[in-house]
Formats: sequence, C-alpha cells, structure tokens
Amino acid sequence: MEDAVTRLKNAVINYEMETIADLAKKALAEGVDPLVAIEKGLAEGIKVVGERFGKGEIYLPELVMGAEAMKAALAVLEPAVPSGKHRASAGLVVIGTVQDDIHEIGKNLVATMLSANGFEVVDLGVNVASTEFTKKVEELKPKIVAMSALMTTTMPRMAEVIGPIKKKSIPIKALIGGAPVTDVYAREIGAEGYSGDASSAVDVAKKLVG
Amino acid sequence: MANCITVSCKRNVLSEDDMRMIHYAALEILEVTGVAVRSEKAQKMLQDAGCDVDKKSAVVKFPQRLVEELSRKNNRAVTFYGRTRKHDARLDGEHTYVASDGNGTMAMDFETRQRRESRKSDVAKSAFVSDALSGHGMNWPSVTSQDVPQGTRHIHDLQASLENTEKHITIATDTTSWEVEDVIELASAAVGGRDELRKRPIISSIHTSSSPLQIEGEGLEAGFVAANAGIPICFYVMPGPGGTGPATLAGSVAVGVAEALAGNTIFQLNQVGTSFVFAAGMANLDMRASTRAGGSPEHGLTSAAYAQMAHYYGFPALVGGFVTTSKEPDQQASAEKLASAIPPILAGADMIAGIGLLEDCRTVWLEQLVIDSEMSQMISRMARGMEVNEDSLALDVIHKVGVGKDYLGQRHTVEKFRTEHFMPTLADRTSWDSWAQRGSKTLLDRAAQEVRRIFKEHRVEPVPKELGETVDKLLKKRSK
Ligand code: B12
Repeated sequence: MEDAVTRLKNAVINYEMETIADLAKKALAEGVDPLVAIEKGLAEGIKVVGERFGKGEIYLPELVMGAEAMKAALAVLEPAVPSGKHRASAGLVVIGTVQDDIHEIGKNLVATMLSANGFEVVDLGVNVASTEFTKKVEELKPKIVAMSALMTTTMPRMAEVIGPIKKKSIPIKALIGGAPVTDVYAREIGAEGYSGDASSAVDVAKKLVG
Repeated sequence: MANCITVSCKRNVLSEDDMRMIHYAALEILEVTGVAVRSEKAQKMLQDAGCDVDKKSAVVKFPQRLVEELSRKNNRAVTFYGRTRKHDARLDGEHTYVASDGNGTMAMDFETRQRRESRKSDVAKSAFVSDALSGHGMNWPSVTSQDVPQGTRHIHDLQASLENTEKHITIATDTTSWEVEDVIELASAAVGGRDELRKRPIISSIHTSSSPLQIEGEGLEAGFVAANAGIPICFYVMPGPGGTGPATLAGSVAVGVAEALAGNTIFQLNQVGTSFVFAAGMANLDMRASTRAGGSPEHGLTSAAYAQMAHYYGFPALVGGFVTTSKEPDQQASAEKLASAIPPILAGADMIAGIGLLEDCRTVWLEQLVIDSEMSQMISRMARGMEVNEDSLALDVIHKVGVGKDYLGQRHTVEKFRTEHFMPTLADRTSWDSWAQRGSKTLLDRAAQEVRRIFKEHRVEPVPKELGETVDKLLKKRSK
C-alpha cells in the first residue's frame, strides 16, 4: 500500500485534478503533516511533471493539468499548515499582466511553468494597476515580481512598477517578458531578468533567486 | 478597383449543414453561457433590448431572436475606400484583397541588416513598398512607430501610412476613444472634411473581443466613436484552439462566431447600419513551444471556416493568412505562409491579414513583403481556376498542330498564354547554368533588388497639406 504522501505525489503525476482534493482531505484525517504532504508529495510530483515536459515527453495541456491538480490539493493542505510555518519553495513570485493590457495566455503559461518548477506563484491577473503591483510586493515580500506586457504602449508600465520598488530598496528581482519586450529593454528599465518564452523563464527565475 | 484576387474556383471547408450547426452552437453559447461585456454603456443598451445582464460579473446573455435580427441590420454593401479611387475595395464575397499584416513591433533594417525595434520610418517604408505591390490590396501598417513620444504613436502611424500609400488603411493602434478621435481628424484632413470621410471612409478601425467570451469596455467604446463617424469596424476575435478556445477547430470557430455576433449586436444597437466586419486570427497554441502557431495548417482551416460563417450571415470577412513563426524569410516561412493563406482565399475571404511579417506577426522585412506579394499572386492564379469552354479546349489548334509537333508558333498560344499562365517576378525558373552565370542570386537577393527598384521608380500621390497641419496640431495637443 502506498502511503498518503506518495499517493498525493502520484495523483499530481497522473493529473488527478478532479479527485486529488479528497486524497488531501484523507491525508489530513490520517494525521499526515500538511507541510510534509506539500513538500514531499505535491512538490515532488510536479517536479516529475515539469521534467517530463522539459524532455518533450508530455505537452502543455498535461503540464497544466498537473499544475491544476497541485493547486486543488494545495487549497486543502495550505490552510492546515500551522501559522508561522511556511512551505519550502524555490521562491515566491508575484506575477501579472500590466495595466491597460489584457493579453493573458503568455503570462498564464509562465505562471504554470514556474509553479511546475517549485516556485510559489501568486497571479494577480491581467490589467493590473502599477500601484497594485507595488502594494502586493510590499505585502507579500516575494523574491520575484514578474510582469507581462504584449504591447508597445503598455511596456512602460513595467518601468512604473520597477521604479518605486528600487527607490524603496526592496530586496526583489524583476522578471519581464511578452512579445515586444527585449533584453535590451529589460536592461534599460532595470529589470534583472528577461525571457522570450515560458520554458527559459524558469531558468532565468532560478538564476535570479539562486 | 483595388488589387484583388477573383475567386472563381471556390473551395469550401464547411458544408451547408456544418454552417448551420456552428450557427446554432454560437446561438446556444450566447444564450446559455453568455459574454462578459465590460462597458456600462453597452450593458444598458443590451438590457433595454431584452438581454439578461448580470451587473456583478458583467455577463450578458443574449436572446436568439435579438442576435438574429441584428445580424441583418449591418451595412450589407461595405467598401473599403482608397485615398485614390483606383484603390477602392468592394467587399462583395467574390474577391479577396490581401492586406499587409499588421502592427508588428520589430523591423529588419533594410540597410544595416540589424533586427531592431520598429520606427516611424519603417511604417513609412513598408507602406511605400506595399503600395507598389500588385499582390497587395490594402494597408494595415506593418509595424508601429516606437521612436516617438508615448501617446502620439497612433498619429505618427497614420501620418506615415497616409503619406506613403494610396490604398485603404486599417488601423489598430487606436484603442481608446481619444485616439480614435485623433485618427478621424487626421483621415478627415486627408480627404477634405468629416462629411467626405463619412462618404468615403478611407480608414477602418480594429477592435477586439478577448477570447474566450469577453469584450472589454475601453476598446468597445472607442469602437463606438469610430462607428459613429461612419468608419467600418473590423471586430477581431482570436480564440486559439487549445488555448483560449476549445482544442477542436469547430469548437473554436463557434466561440469566435458567438463573440462576433455579440459584438455585432452591440454595434448595431449603438448605430444601426454600422459596417461590421467579421475578423479573426484563430491560430492554435503550439503545445510544446508554447507559442501561437500562426503558420499552422489549422489556422488556414479556421480562417476559411470563419470567412464562410461571415458570409453565411452577410458580413465581410478579414482573416489570418500568410502567417509564419519562422525567424527569417526561409523555407519554413514560405511553406507556413502558403498553408495558412490558401484555404481562406479559396473559401472567398474578403480580406487576408496579411503579408510582410515574420515571427508570428512581429517583425517586418521589406523583402518579405515582396515575396509574399508574389505568393499572393500565385494563389490568385489558383483561385481563378480553369475555364472549360470551346475556346479553352482549343480543338481547332489541336487538330491543326496534329501529332508530335509543338504549339509555340501558334496564334492561339500567343493570344492565351499571358492570361492562362502566371508569370513570376521573383521566382527563378532558369536553368542551373544561367542562374549561376547571373550570380547565383537567392530569392532574398532578388527580393531586395525588387525593393530597391520600387524605391527608385514608384510614386505615391501626395497628400493635401492640411494633413501636415492637423498632425502638428494634434501632436501639440497630445504632447502636453
Ligand atoms: C491573442 C492576441 C490577442 C487576444 C488576447 C486574448 C487573451 N485572452 O490573452 C486579444 C484579441 C484580446 C488581443 C487584443 C489586442 N491586441 Co493582441 N495579440 C494577440 C496575439 C495574436 C497572440 C498573443 C498570444 O497569446 N500569444 C501566445 C502566447 C503564448 O505568447 P506570448 O504572449 O508572447 O507569451 C510568451 C512570451 O512572450 C513569454 N512571456 C509572456 N509574458 C511573459 C512574462 C514574463 C515574466 C516572462 C519571463 C515571459 C513572458 O512567454 C510566453 C510563453 O512562451 C499577438 C501577436 C503575437 N504573436 O504575439 C497580438 C498582439 C500582441 N496584439 C496586438 C494588439 C495591437 C492588440 C489590440 C490593441 C488590438 C485592438 N486594436 O484592439 C488589443 C489590445 C487589448 C488590450 N487592451 O490589451 C499587437 C501589439 C502590437 C503593438 N504594436 O504593440 C500584437 C503584437 C499583434 C499585432 N501585430 O498586431 N490580442
């Protein structure tokens, strides 16, 4: 018989997004430490899924289903984590598409890829006001603030976020991307990280926190 | 009439039954799930017309009767006028006008061979080269001006376009009401006033849904300003199969049609008789590279199907084609561009967006404009098809020439070959030896040569001086 933690790990690997919440509840009822369930179960599972995607064994929809399964279980397990304790992760990332911009697919893919690679991701959605970004950064103290802009007219919004953060010398790295964004532009506005696609975004993010 | 492809040899991807099924699916989507419409103004109009509006989620559910009724209230005879009459494009469902595509952000510098951010001069040059191309019928500025102050881009984009082409201009950098107002003022200056512009709108305006099943308020209300000035609306939907639409092509087309019908309902409620164009770029998400696969064969199919659906209701269609994700004008670019362009053109799409860009609508190469224009003419020949009649069967000549001789010296041949055979400008059909003798030039070399020839020889009708004055006035206003 598999133990509850291995079952959770396998449920992520097998994309059991519809039923994994019940498994998580059962694990808690059996007295499993929620932190262990997350770190040794879910995180290990999603790592396998991420690696398979990286090797080209599975495709995007499977990767997203894996991430969905993890999310569903986290929704049960996280509230059970004793206050004061926090799950280990590669780092907290706050992500969103900038103000006046509603392109979301690229941003969603980057968010999925990061969470599939061990990052904890808070997604603020699209058309996120610059002040909202700075507010969340101060509140959640993430290691990375990640921004997506798909239009030349909305790119300057990223500078609007980075400016005030730098001024307050908050210890955080900015990671940016989106079709019109270039590495040159990233340097210009003082963003530490840029990537042209979701897969390499993970490598860049790892370097930024590493 | 503007340069166009006459589609005599139609090849549909949807049968009558298929179209009816998609139609009913779209109506069901609108009635059961609805569309979020994030504009209070539009919500009010919809509620008054009998829609069920949920103020909190902004979701509007559309009664079928209303959608069907208003799908017959659009302008049924839309023309995309050119700055000069010879470039008028009548959207009659029998002709395809190939547009340049559209709002890219990068340019391959023709002189320095550097790939860099697009500038106003790129907008001007690409418009000028496009103006000379016979495989090109209307202008969507290939790129956008990024070397100008924020808030003035739409002014510079339109000015550079108007000055460098006589063809119709469709513009997408006017996403707010004030930008649309500027654009109307500029276009009016180019034609001699607002009334003239209403009679002959030489521009059209692109506004979008946000798939799946959302319409944002700002862009929509900007569209009202354009529609109220008599400017045709290209309502772009982009459910990407597998990403923002169901993985199945039919499902994504149904979502797209639902969004377009919702858009049309709103625009006709705003102003009955609005010229409303069904526009779409439904390319699937590449499930490995996580990019939009603009050059996929599926994109060709969805574009064709969407054009058919537009015509089913009596709307003109502007759909994707000549798209590629390739980084250079290479073999992949050619193959993908053809794969995405042939199906919609043969299905009779009124407009294709379009030629000149690489990297999925990102980077303009002037050479690619010329290459794509030639591709468009190749497809034009296919679309014209094969005429079968007494004259074309040519029995007289066949009997006359008889067995084992050739037809070269026949009067019939001289009379017919110019129209029967497509004659390329760029494709090299010589033998290895004569090709090598003339410097072994690649397709890209020959395209560059053609670009240089255009710069030397082509002329564009100048714009009235009022345009320059209006530009100065608007720039002053927006730079404050
Ligand atoms: C689909 C699409 C839309 C859809 C978006 C639907 C949705 N729910 O997201 C809709 C129809 C809503 C839309 C609307 C508009 N669009 Co649009 N759209 C596109 C299109 C065709 C594809 C974008 C996409 O989803 N690509 C697929 C994803 C997977 O790729 P991606 O977003 O680039 O993301 C990848 C990378 O960039 C990177 N990345 C992205 N974000 C981030 C963030 C970080 C931190 C990192 C590290 C990496 C990263 O990783 C991602 C995954 O690999 C692009 C053209 C293009 N090829 O980019 C135009 C494009 C972006 N749109 C454009 C325009 C002009 C508009 C409109 C203004 C049109 C109009 N007139 O209304 C409106 C604007 C609305 C608004 N206020 O935002 C232009 C922008 C041009 C410019 N000059 O700025 C483009 C380039 C098309 C064009 N050439 O005209 N659009």
